[in-house]
Amino acid sequence: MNKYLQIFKPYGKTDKSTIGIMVLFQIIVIALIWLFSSSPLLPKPTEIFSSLGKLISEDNLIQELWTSMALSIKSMLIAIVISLLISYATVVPFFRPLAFMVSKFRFLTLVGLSFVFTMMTHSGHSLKVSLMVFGITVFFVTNMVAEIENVTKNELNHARTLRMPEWQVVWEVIILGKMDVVFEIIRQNFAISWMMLTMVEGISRTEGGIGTMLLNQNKHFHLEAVFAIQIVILLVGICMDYGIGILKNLFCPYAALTLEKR
Amino acid sequence: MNAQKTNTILKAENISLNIGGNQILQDINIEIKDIVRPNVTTGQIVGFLGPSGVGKTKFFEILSGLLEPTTGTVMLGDPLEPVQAGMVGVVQQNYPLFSHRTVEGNLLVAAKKLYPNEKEAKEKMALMLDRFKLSDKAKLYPAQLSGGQKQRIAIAQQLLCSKHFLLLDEPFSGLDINMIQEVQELITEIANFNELNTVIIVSHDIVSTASISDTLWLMGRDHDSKGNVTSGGKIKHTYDLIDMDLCYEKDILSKPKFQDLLKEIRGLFPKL
Repeated sequence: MNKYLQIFKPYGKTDKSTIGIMVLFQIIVIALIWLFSSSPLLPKPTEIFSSLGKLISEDNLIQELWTSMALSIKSMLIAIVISLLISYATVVPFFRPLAFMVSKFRFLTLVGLSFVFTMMTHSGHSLKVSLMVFGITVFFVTNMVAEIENVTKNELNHARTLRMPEWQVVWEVIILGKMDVVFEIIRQNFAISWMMLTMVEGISRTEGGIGTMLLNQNKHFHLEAVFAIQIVILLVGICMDYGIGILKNLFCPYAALTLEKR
Repeated sequence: MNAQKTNTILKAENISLNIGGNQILQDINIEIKDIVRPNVTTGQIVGFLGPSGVGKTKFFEILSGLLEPTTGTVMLGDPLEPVQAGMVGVVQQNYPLFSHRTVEGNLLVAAKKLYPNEKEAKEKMALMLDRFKLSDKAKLYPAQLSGGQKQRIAIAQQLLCSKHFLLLDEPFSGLDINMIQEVQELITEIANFNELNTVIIVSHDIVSTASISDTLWLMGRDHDSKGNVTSGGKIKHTYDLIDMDLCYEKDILSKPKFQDLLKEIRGLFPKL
């Protein structure tokens, strides 16, 4: 009994079986609330799953999902390259104002910028990519620059005492040494990009995508379809997050070793 | 033991450091000479003692070429040349290592600086691992090592790329009595790896440092009659433990003369 009471204490010690029971219990409670809810705003699971089947068979949900994923991954890759270049450049004082400025752009709204980006780009696809890249970059640079600024003088001096010239210090301490952090930031920013997707696909609907599909279903008050699409978005997001976690463990196996459990 | 002091291998002249109007260090002059004992390969250990906040770490950074003093110069080697970062091995208090590299990787990246030939660098690394009895840890990451093992690897890493000078910042901090003895033996062993080796210990642990040092410097600051600090950190007292016949030996702590020295230093400490 005492071990079950631990789950209600701050930093209580729990074993795997207790966590399993706890999670199962919470899922059952949520499922029961959902099943017996009489709210018209919450469609029944059966309605949602039947709508999901219809979306797949009649509305090309898989194709639309692929379009969105391709857009998201492409934008993410471009944003990673740009963000890392800007962030790493902050070790050179000349480039610090640029990173500072890019970081502050996170307060701008994408909708407000869409006109400027429309004028600058030549197709709906490049407009969406540009907006996504912009949206991801401003947050990525903010996180990455903060990590670079947290590097201590001792860490840099350690590399210097090993006869490393300053560029090698940057390579060893900032670029290689912070590789695990880059994966963690990618993970967080992928979630942000996945959230932005609906908005961006709403700005330019020419290519379709799951965001466009969601907005169309929303417009016609097809709540069960909206819920079905949201569940797909959530599951894909979780899978991508898990995938990035696997990549992090693959490329930075040491990162997990430093995580001390509370 | 017939120890003879020969040529100067480290010289710091008129070292002062002022940061933002605060005088951290003031007019520090030190000289370390090579100690030669006939028929014995012996390096030397120099201890810097002083209370917290006296500027030991800043002086440590200046000695290792990591920090430019406001005035003065540091020369080292035989012949003497101006110090530059990398000439002195530095092991900081928290034993920093590259967490993204294995033990082997950490040592190899250091060895390649003195031995650009990959094969030679690997041989030196293997020798060092063997010498520190850590060959079985070669494939582990720093996060998988104990504090003592990390300290040994950090020292091995520095020895692989610096030549004969090693600076240790608070090497006894947070260690229990058994570990302190182990670290003392390790430091003595390192000093005696090579005739020209000089290990400089910066510490506030009087007993542990004094018992293995050949020379002891006490850092402190001047105070006015009310006890207010009136100067930057400087060398207030020097003890030549070779002349005093108090060099390291297993039962040094039981020597009454050594106990008297400790008593004297303890008495001076609050005034530093």
